[in-house]
Amino acid sequence: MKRSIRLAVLLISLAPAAFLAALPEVSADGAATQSGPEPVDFNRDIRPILSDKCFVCHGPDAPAKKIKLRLDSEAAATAALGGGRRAIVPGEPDKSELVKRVTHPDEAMRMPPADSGRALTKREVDLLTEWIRQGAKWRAHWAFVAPVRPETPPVKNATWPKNAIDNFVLARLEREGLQPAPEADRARLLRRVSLDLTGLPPSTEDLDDFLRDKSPNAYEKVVDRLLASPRYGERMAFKWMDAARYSDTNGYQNDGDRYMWRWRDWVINAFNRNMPYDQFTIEQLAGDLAPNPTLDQRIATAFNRNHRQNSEDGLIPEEYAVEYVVDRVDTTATVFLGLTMGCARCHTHKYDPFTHKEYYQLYAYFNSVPEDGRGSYHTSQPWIPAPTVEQQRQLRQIETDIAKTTRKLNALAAGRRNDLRRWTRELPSSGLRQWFPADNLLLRHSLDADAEIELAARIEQREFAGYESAAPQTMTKQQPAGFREGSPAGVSSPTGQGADFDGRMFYDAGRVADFDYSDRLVDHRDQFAISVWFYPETENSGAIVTHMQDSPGEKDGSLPKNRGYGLFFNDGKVHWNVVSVWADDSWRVETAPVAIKQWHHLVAIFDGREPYERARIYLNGRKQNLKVNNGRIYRTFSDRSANLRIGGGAGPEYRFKGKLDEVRVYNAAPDPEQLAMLACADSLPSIAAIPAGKRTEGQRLKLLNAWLDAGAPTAIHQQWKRLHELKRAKTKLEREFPLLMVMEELPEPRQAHILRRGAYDSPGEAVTRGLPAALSQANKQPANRLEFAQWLVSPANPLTARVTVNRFWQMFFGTGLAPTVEDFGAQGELPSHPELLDWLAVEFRDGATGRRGDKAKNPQSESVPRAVASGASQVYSPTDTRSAVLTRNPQWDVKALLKTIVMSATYRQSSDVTRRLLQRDPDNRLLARGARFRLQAEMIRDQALLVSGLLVEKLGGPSVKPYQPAGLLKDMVFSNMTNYAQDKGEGLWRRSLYTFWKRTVLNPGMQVFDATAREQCVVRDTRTNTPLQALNLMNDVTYVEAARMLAERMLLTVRTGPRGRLAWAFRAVTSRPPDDMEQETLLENLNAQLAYFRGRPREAEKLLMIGEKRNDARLNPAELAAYAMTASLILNLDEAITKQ
Amino acid sequence: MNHENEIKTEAKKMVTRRHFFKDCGIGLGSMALASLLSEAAAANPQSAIRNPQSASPLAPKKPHFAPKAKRVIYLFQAGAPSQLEMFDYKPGLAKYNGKPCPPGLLKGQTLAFIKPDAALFATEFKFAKHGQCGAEMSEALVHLPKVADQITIIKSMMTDAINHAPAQIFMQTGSIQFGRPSFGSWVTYGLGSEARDLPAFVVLSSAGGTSGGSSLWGSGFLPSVYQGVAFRRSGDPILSLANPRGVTREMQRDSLDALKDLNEHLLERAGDAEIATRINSFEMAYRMQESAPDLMDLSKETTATLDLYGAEPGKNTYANNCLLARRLVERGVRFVQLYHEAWDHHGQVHNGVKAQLKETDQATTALLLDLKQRGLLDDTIVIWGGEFGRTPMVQGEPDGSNALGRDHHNKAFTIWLAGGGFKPGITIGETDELGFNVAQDPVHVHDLHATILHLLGFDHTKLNYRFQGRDFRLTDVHGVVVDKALA
Repeated sequence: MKRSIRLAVLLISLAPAAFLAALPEVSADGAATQSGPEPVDFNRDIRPILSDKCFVCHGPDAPAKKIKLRLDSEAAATAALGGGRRAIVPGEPDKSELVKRVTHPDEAMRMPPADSGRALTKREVDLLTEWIRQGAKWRAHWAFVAPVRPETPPVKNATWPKNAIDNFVLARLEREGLQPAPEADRARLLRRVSLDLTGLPPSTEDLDDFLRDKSPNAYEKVVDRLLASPRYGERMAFKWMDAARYSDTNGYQNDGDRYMWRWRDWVINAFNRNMPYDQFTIEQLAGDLAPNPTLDQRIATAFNRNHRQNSEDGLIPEEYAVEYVVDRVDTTATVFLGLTMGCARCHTHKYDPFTHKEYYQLYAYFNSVPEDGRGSYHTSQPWIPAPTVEQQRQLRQIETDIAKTTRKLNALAAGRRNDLRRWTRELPSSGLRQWFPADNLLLRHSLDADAEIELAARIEQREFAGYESAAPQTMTKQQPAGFREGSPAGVSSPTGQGADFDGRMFYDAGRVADFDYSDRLVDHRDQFAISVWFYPETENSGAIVTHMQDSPGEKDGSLPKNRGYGLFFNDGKVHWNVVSVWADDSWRVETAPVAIKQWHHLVAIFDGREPYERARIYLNGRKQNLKVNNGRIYRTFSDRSANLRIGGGAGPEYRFKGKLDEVRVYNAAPDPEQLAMLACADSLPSIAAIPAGKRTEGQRLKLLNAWLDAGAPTAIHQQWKRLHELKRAKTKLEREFPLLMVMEELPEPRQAHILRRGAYDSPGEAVTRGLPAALSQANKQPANRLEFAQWLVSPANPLTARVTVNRFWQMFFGTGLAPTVEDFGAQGELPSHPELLDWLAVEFRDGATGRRGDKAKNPQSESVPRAVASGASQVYSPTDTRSAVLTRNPQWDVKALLKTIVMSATYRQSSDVTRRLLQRDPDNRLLARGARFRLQAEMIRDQALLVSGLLVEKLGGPSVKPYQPAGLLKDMVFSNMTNYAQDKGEGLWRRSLYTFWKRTVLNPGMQVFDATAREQCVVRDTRTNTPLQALNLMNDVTYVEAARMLAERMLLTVRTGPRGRLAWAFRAVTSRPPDDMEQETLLENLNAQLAYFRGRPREAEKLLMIGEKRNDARLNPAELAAYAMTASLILNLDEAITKQ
Repeated sequence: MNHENEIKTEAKKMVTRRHFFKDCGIGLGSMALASLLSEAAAANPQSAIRNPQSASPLAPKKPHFAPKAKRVIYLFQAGAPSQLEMFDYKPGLAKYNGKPCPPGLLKGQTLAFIKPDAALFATEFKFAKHGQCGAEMSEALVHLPKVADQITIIKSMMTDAINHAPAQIFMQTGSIQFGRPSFGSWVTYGLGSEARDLPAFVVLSSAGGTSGGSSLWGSGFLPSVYQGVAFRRSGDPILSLANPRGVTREMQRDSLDALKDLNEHLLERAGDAEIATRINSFEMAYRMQESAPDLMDLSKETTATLDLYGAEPGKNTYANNCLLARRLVERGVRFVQLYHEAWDHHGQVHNGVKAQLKETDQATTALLLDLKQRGLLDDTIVIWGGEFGRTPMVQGEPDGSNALGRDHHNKAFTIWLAGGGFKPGITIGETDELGFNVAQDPVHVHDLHATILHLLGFDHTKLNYRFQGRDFRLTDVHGVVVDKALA
C-alpha cells in the first residue's frame, strides 16, 4: 500500500455516492457478488435514474410543457405513443423506445439531450435495460407507502445486537462482509450520550460515578437520568427551533424585536414532559382549533407564526400575506412530511407527484388567519397575552382574592343597609355633590369656574377619591397649564357647571397624558380612555381633547394630519384619530351623526392591548358602531413634545366651539360598571331624591360607590379600598404579560386560488382544501387545519413518523438514515437501511401496542389520533414545570424512541476508523462505526460555560443578550432596531438556546459555527471548518472568560500541583485523562505562560479583565493568567469541540 | 503491518509533511489533492463539498471555460440611486414636467408610496456627452466622465421587487425568497479562493447598514464556508481577530504550536481527516491575524493614491472602502462586496444625489483608474448599481412644499460595469420617452448574473448545487448572457 491515504479517500469519494453496495459489483468483497445479477429493484435502482435524468421533461409537469411521454407512472410509460411505439414494453428491451433512444448512436436522437447535462452513464443504461428485461415492474415510491413493521432480520453474530436496531444494521454489515466496531470506551460513551441527550458534557463527578458503577445496567441508568434532566428539553428545543425558524426578530428591513419566547418555553416543557409527538404536532399546527383551547394549546400555535414578517414602509400587504402562507406550507411540508412542496408553488412539481393546484389546496389550510401582510415593527396580529406560569399563578391568586374580598364586602355591606339609607337621606345636607370612578385616573379637569387641572396625585387628597391612583405623570413646567387666548364663562352643565368655549380659547394642560403605542414594550402598549361631556355648537365644532402639536399642519379634507391623538367634532360626527403617519400608519374612526346643540357624554378608548378593536367610543353610555377610516397602526404615535389640550390642538382652525365639562383621562380602559357611572352626570343629592327602585344602574352604582368611598363605616370602606387595590394590581399584572403571535382562524375561510407562477397578483382557479392525491385518496378530506394536523399523525399518512425518526437519527449520527432529511421525494437519497427506518417509524407511531404483534392495524384507516380525542391534556399538564418523569405512553413516545436508539450497540460503537473502513464507507452509511463530528454551535459555547462554572442554568424566560461586539448591528443593517443592550450578569451565561436571535445579524459566535439565521425552516445539519472558528475560539471574550474561570477552578479545586490541575481540566473538557504526551505538552505550555506572565503582571491583569465575571481576588494574577491561557488551549482542542 | 497501523503511519506522514503544505493556505495536503481533483471539481464543484475529506472546499477550481475575469468588486449603491439624475437623460420629462403621468404607462405598475397620478418630475441637472463613446452623464457626476470610455452602461435594467430588503436580496441572490446563496457565495463556490490568508469573499460597508442584512452575503444552502465575511467598520476588520489583551503574538504562537501537537496526536489515533483540516484552520487564522491589520493599514499607500481616492486613513468612508477593495483583490480575494446604503431619496432627490456623489464619485472613478494602472482591471469585474431605480414621477406634495423626491421604480434603471471582459465605452439599452419603461434591450437581473458568470468562465446553467432534490443555480431558470456587453 504505497498510495497515500488521501488518494485512497479521493478515489472513494468519486465513486457513486447514493448508497454503497446497492448493486452487486460495488460490494467488491461482499457475499452478494457470487450469485449472478440480482433482481433490479424499481425504487432502489430505477426511480432515481428516471427522476434525476428524465422527470424534468417527462415527469409530473410534462403536460404543462405539452410533452406527450411521461415516465412517472407505469400506465403512461407503457402506453402507446403512436406509430406502434411504446416507451417501455415490459420484458422486451429491444422493442422499448426508451432503450432505443437512450442508446441511439445519433447524438441528436439520443436521450437525454446532450445539452441537458443529464447524460446517462453506461451503468444506468444497463440498469434500465435489465429492468425492462426483467419485466419493468413498477412500485409506488417507497416513502408514499405507509410503513409496515418489518420482521427483525436474523444475524450470524447473535451476541452483538442489544435491540432490534442492531439486527438491521448487523444484517447489512454481514451481507457486506464487515464487522461492527467495538464499543466505545465508557468515558467516551458517557460524553457522547450526555452531549446527544442534554447538549452538555458530563461533569467529572458524573464520569467518576459511571466508571465506578459496575452494574450491568449502569449505562441504562445514565440514559434514564439524562432523559429525565431538564437539560434534555433544552437540547431538543434548540433543534426544533431551527426547524420552526424561531427568531427574536422579524427579519427584512426593520427586523424589529418580537416576543416568541413563550412558545420556545412551551417546546422545552413539551419535550421535558415527554408530550407524545402526535399531540406535539397537532397542538402546534392547530391548538387554537381544539375544543375550548387552553392557553398552552394556543401558545403552541406560535409555531406557524415564527416566520419572517415584513414591516417595510411602502410594501404591498397582499404580496407578503402570500409569503407568510407559503412559508407555513413549506415549513409544514418540510418538517412533518419531508417534502419539497415549495417547488409546486410556481408550477407542478418536476419530480414528485404534486400538482400546482394541490399546492394551493394545502395552502388553503393556512391562509385563513386574521393577519396583515404588512407586519408591525414588533408583534403583529393575531396575538394573545401569554402569561408565564408564574404570572398565571399570580393572576389566579389575585382573582381568588378579588372574589374573597367581594364576598366579604357584600356580607359586611348587607348588614349595613340602614347605614346606606341614612347616608343617602342625609346627602343633600352633607355638601357632597359628585362622585366618579377614580381607578387608574391620570388627570381630571372639572371645568368648573376657576378650577385647575388636577393630576391624580392631587386628586388623592380630595374627599371623594379616597385611594391613590396610578403614578401620575409629571408636568413639565415650561409653561404653566391654564387657559390660553381667553378664559371661558361658566355655564350650567349636566354635572353642574361646565365651560363655554368660544372657538378661540382652549385649555393647555401641558406635557401630560403622553400615551403611546408600540407593540414592543408592554409599558408602551398603552390603554387609555378620555371621558368628557360636550355640547357642540356647530357641526364642525373642532377639537375636544387632543395630544398633538398646536401648529396648523397639513390637512386631509377637514381633519388635521398631525401626529398624536385627538377627539374632534367634525361634519357632525365624533372622530377619534390616533396617528403615527396619516393614512399609512394610523387608527382613525368616526361615529354616526350626533345631534348638535345638546349635551352628550363621550368616552373614547384606545386599547393598545387589543389587536383588532383598538378604538372604541361610547356615547351617553352606549357603545357606538364606528366607521373605520383606517385601522392600521404599526408604530409609536406619541409626539413627545406635544401638550394635552382641551378644546384645542392643531392650530386656531380647530378651537372648540361649544361647551365642555368634566374631562377625565384614565390610563386604562374602564369596565362596564365604570362606564355606566361615568355616563351618569347626576349629582349625588339628585340621585338620592329618586326612589331606590327607580334609579338607573349608573345612578345606583354611583350612589353605592360614593357611599363605600366616603360614607361607609371604616371596616367596609377598607374592604372596598382593598378590592380596588386588587383590581389595579390585576390590571398592572396583565400589562406585564408577554405578547405572543399565534394562529387564529377567520370565521369564514378565505378563498384560496392557484397563483400563477406563484405570484400574489396573478390568481387563477379557486381551490378548496385537500391533500395531494399521492398522499390521500380518501373521499373525505380534512376540513380544516385541525383535521389536517390529525391526518398528519394518523396511520394513513406514510411520512410523518418516518421523517421524524429520521431527523432524530440525524441528531445522533450526523446523517439521517435517509440523508436528505428534508426530501423524501423522488429526488431524495434512498435510506441506507430502509427496513430499519420503517421499523423505527412504526415503533414510534404505534409504540408498545404495535410491538405486541398488532400488525393488523390498517394503515389506511382514518382513525382520529388519541391526542385530540382525549382533550390533549391528560398526559401533559401544561402548567407543571417540574422536570420530566418518563411517561409510559405507548405511542409517539419521543423519549422511548431516543432511548431505544442510544441503547443500541450500533450507537455505542467506537468512532475510531480504520483505513479499510474509511475506504469502504467514507460517509459511514453502513454504520460500522460510531459517529464523529463537530459539535453544533450552541453546544460548543454551552460546554465552555459549563466546564468553567459560568453556566447559569435556568429554564425559559425572555431571550438574553450575551457578549457581542459593540456596534455590530449598526455596522450591518439599515434599521432603527440596532440597539443591542448587552446583558449584565446572568444573561451573559445562559445556555445558547436563550440567546437573542436577530435574523439579519446573527450572533457571530453562533453564526461562525454554522448556526442558521432562521430566515426559514432548516432541518439539515451542516458543518464547516473555517479559520473564523479558530479566531472565535481563541480570541472571543466568551471563550477567554471561560478559560479564566476554568483556570480558577483548576487552582481552587485541585490541590495536586500543575500536573494534577491540567489533568483535571483536560478531563473536565474532553471526559478523559490526558496521556503522557498530552500531559507533557500542556505542562510545557503552562510553564512558558508562567514564565511570560510572571515577568509581566500588567499583561496578566489585562487578560484577567476580559469579560464581566471577576476572578477570585486571592489568586495570583500571573499564575491565573498562565493557567487561563492553557485552559484556552484545552478548550480549543479538536477533541473538545467534537463528539466522538 | 496491519491496516490500522498503516493508517496511522500514513496520517503521520501526512502531518509531518505539514512543513511542505503549511504555506499553501488552502487546507492541509489539499494542494496535492487539488490538482487531482481539479477536473472533477470543475465538472461539479459539489463533489468537493460532498466529501469533506477530499479537499478544502476553498481550493482554487477551474471554471467551465477560460475566464476573462478572475474576481469581482461590486460597488452596491444600496437604497437605489436615481438613474434620472445621473445617466438616463430624458428631455421628455422636462417637456411634461409637473403634468400627470399618462395613465397608459401606469397600467399594472405597483408603486411603493406615491399615488399613480403623481406628476412627472424633470431633473435639475444638465446632461452632456462624454468620452469618445459619447456616454451621457449629468453634471452631478464630476469624476466618472473621466473614465466614460472604460465603462459599460446598461440603461435598461429591470428587477422584480420594489421594496429594499426583497430587492437587495433579489439582486444579490437571484431570488426574492430568503435562503438562497449570494452572488459572492456562488462565485467562491465555483472558483475557490486564491487568498492565502484572507477570506475569499469580503463584505465592506459605509453609510447606513443594508436593508437585507446578512442574507445579502449569506451562503444559503451552500456550506457556510462560502459566506461573505463582513469586515467591521472600525477596530479590527474581522471579528475576534486580535489576540486577547495581554497576550502577545509570540505567546499565541506558542499555544498554537502546542495545540497543533495535541491535535496531530489525536489525528494519529482517531484517523479523521477533519482534524487535519482543523489544524490548518488554526494556522490560517494565525496568518490572518497578521495580514488583516496590514491590509487595513491604508497609511501604507502613497499620498498620490490616497489623494486619487480621497481616502483618509482611519475613517470609515466609501473612499476608504474603494481603496480597500483594490488592496483585497491584490491579495487574491475573489469577491469584494461593497455596500453604500444612502440613496433612498424619497425627498430632495437632487440634493441627495449630489451629496452622495460627493461621497462616492471620486473614489469610484479612482478605483477604476487605479485598477487599470496596476493591470488589474483586465481581469477584475467592477459593478456599480443599486437594487432598483426611481420613478420619473415626483414623490411629495403637489404644491412642492415637502418632498421633491422619487419613489421606488423597478421597471427601468441604470447600472454600469467595467473591466473583466466587459466591452468598454458602450451604452446598452434605452428607456421610453419618460424613462418609465425599457424601450430597447431589456436586461433583467438574471441576465446580469448570467453575463458576469459567463465572464468568470461559467455556463450559468451549469454552476449548480443540489438541494432538496433540485439543482439550484444563481439564475434560477432564467438568464441570458448579454452578448452586446461583451468585449
